[in-house]
Amino acid sequence: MQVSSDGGASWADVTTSTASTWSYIDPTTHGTSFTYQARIVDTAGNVGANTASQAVTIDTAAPAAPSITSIPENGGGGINAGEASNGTPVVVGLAGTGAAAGDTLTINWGSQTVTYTLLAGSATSRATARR
Amino acid sequence: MTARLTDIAGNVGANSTATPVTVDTAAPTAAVAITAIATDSGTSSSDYVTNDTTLTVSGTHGLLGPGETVQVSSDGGASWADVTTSTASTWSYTDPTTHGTSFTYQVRIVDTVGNVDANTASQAVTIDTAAPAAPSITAIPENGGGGINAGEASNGTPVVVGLAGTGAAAGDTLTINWGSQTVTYTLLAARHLGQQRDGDGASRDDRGAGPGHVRRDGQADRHSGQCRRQLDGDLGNGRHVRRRRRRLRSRPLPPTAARRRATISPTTRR
Repeated sequence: MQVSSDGGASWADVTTSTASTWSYIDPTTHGTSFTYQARIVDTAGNVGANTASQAVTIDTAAPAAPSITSIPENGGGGINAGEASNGTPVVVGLAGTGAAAGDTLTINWGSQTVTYTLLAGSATSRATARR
Repeated sequence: MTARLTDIAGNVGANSTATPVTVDTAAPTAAVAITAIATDSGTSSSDYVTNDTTLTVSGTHGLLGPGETVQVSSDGGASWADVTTSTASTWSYTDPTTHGTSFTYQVRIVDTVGNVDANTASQAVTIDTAAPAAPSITAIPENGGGGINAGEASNGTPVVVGLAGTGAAAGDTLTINWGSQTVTYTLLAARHLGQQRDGDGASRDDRGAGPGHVRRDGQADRHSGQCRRQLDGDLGNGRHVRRRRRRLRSRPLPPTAARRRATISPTTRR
């Protein structure tokens, strides 16, 4: 069993292998996205016809901070009893954050935390916080 | 309040700028009441029945906390307006709405964040701008036979007024003008006015009994069987008249034929 992470330019033997599994501790630091390839060779150098590959996406950039665009119920001096009784909508602006569908939006209000998974196609996000 | 993003790779972004949030769930507790409208026209200045369609409503309230305001609605609570003036214990609202029909005033107290006082008040206002139709002078019996003679003129002149179709109701005022003299008479409830519901119950007619009989000499007319008023206070035995009137009011209605004939007959005097 051999593994390549540079498009097949170089191949290294896997670190461990049992009768049916293998594992490879990659010594390379991957700063960008790349693809793993795996193959089987014999001592004579014959390569098996069965190979496998898997793209890996490297993302080390934290999203930029969003902004709280508005808390409508907080207008007019604050949140009253009726407004407080059923949660407080919060409008969050995502422009320039690079936020993508699947990212998690977390709202902190005092000791309370609300999380919301972004859906596709939203420039802003609405979440309802409860205190 | 702050917000932050976490992407699907698990990278945690920075928090947004914090936004301050104020929460105030304590409602006002002062009492509030509606005590008058202006102008409350007509017989009573405190019955909320008026022909004025542009009103000022006023009332009282208890001690208000900081930022607490009295508000008025005249549309069933769909919209609320701050009162025009407010002192430590009273309020007044000059209603900009022209009210062509009857409605109800509501009043409440709110604080700056919109918490509403559990104490509220409401008052129905009846708008009536329709003038009654003209009645008719059905008969002036003493005017028959060529006119009123000295004997007839000496003790007032009965006048029978028909109210059919006028929509007259108890509390309305009947005014009779004869030359420079004016006699007014307040219509009483159906039993004395003779108002009865007709077959469909939808309207009133005047077929009942109940003439008011104004007599200047203060003598009861035993045969009229109706209530009396004394036209001039300086005449006759007023105590006797009042006592007799109470007794006569409690009498049952006269026979149907009499009720049909009689309408209302103040006695006037020239």
